[in-house]
Amino acid sequence: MSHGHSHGPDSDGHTHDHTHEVDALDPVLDLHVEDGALTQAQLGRRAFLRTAGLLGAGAAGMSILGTASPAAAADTSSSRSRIGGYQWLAGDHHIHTQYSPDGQYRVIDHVQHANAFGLDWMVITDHGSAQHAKIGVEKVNPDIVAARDAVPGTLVFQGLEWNIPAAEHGTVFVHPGKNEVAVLKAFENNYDGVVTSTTASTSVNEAVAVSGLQYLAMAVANRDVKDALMFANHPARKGIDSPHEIRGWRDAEPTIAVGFEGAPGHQAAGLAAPFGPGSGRGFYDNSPTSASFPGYPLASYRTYGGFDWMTATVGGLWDSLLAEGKPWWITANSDSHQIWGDTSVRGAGSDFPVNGFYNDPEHTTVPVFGNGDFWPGYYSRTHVGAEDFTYAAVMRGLRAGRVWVDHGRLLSGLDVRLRAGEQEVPLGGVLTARRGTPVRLIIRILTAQFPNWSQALPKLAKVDVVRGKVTGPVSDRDTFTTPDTSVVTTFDVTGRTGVIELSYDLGALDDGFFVRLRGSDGNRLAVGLGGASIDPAGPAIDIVGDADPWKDLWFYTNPMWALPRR
Amino acid sequence: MSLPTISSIDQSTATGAGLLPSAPVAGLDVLSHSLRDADSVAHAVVHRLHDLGALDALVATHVVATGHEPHHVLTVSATQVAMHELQDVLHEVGAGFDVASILVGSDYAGPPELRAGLEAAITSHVDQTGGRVVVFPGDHLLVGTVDTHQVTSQSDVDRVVLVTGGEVADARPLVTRNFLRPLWHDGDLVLHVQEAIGGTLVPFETPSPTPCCADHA
Repeated sequence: MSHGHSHGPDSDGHTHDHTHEVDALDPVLDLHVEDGALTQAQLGRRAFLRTAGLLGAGAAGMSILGTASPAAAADTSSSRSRIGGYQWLAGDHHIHTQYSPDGQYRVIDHVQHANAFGLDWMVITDHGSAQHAKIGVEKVNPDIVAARDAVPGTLVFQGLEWNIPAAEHGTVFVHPGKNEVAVLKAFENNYDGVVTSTTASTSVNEAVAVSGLQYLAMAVANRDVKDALMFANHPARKGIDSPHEIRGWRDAEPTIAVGFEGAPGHQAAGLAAPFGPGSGRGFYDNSPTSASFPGYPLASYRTYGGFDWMTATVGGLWDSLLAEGKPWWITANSDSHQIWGDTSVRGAGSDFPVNGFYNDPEHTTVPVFGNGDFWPGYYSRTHVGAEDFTYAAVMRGLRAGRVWVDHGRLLSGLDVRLRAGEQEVPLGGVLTARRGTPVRLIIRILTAQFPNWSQALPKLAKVDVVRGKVTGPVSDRDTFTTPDTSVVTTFDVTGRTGVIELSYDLGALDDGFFVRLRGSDGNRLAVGLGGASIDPAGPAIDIVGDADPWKDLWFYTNPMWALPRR
Repeated sequence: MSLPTISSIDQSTATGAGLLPSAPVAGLDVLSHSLRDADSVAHAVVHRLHDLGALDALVATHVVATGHEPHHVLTVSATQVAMHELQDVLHEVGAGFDVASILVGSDYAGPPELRAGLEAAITSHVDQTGGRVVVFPGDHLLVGTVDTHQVTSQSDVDRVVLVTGGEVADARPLVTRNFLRPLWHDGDLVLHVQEAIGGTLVPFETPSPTPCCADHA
């Protein structure tokens, strides 16, 4: 790499950095740990296992569906039991600290809140900028390292919010290690749009973005860092992530650029004034500019049930990516900068342009209702199916698409499988079978076992199955719709609590399809943008200045594919 | 290039102080990269036209991607000033910028590579097929909260449409925020609106959208 470090690879995983590859028994599964000692998220996982009869020594390695998955079967040395063969770790990859020009809090403020609100992993992503490249990217590291020690129950990654050249922002983060700062710093200095003045929407700058991803791939290949990932953030907010750019990132480095935010942060931004910002949910209140992709409709600049238009539209941009038969995953994050209703303010005497950070926050007695964000874990969660509680496993799970997301703790647990004959795949999986093989979707949901952080117990009302035809690579790289994709069935689960088992017959395997789930509390439903035949009761466009996020809760899963064997 | 004229005005809908068919359309490109910059140039032009007694000016912005990285250009029409006066106004406003290209009739001043973009923008204006209208006849009547029928009866706006699709047929309260940016579409001037608090509607475009954090750097 460019900074002259010549450290050898950490091939055995026993790095000598300040991180913890936590291999101790998961406290959820260790019955010596009493319920009272667990976080709410851990209690939720334990409750799921209990309800499903999977907690206890005899349950080791068993999947919730009674069939051992390959991953679980291979892990006989571990005493962990799992949900569907994986630990589902809740996280957030988009969090700003006092090292962002629009941030406020210390790293530890975020980490201890995230831990208390139930997050297992999180990524610190301060904005790329001249100050951050010079100061913040280094200065934040000891804070992160200290937080890893202080709060071992939550994995804390260092990343940054990349100003993607020619496009929107994106999360870039790496596996902890001795070069984590050096790689991020070199990346920022060479490929951040603001640092390198490449934000303008030109094809030359689009190429710089791809070079940045190639740099990250090289840093992993050279073992400068053990792993690196990129997710595009708030992709439809300003219309500047064109479909061909998204496809370009994905196809250039499919192991690095793996998805986008299905739901942006700033979920409190639509709360009505004067006790909220009174803005658009997610602060999605922009309109097309000269930097925008001209093909996007005005409707793309708003959120739907708190989700980004690219994800919320059935048969829309996300589905058009999935129809190509290539992975592209969604996440849900806080984008936490300044917390709705918080009474702290930026430290007095701060000089961000000079210092590269704000002084530590200070207490006041005045709640700030113009802030539009929630603490990490408070509202938005990205659940990753991980083999174990390690940084590497979280990154592998994200890359594999073993991911579902929810708002307001709508669900306490979820296990989804696609099954054909003897074969079965989890979320993100690709099942291949002979044409004509019957394919079935199997769903187990654990409804919310605890009130969420608004002190209400979320109630799941319905689950939608979205199915789309795999059409192969698109000829027009700016395609953002796909045919033969619709909600094929809806399960009304109103009033049901505990474990809900659902099964759906997808028929005989044809030329190939993808399937994904979505569900809601049923409070706000509308005909989707593609019409009632495609999405009769989808998320409604969020009301400007009056979007209470707690009364409009959704979960989304990532897709699975069934493809005919060639 | 012959003088473009607006020839397709539907007299039944172009009410208010509607354009006369002979209004010339001129173009000004100062390489505005944000809507806010483009709007401020538009207002500078309109103020000068008002000073000359032209109260029926219509100014639109258009995205142009030729000759330069994508940016916003202006097109202007007004019946109550002579063409040379309009030309003078554009030169006066353009003089405040490093680069200004101006097209009035066949009279072009500016870098050659910016001419094609202005020509295309003027065609959109003349045909009313594209463009975001910043100032238009009747807009001064649409302040505060109005009902949606007033929008079409008192100004050049032809239709009020929800951003998710569908015409707003009933008279509904529209909180204008004193900021309306209707778009031309297929010969109609269309105001896109969205549901807002308390059963009101608001225009799709926000006067001061949340700024992008990257700009702080």
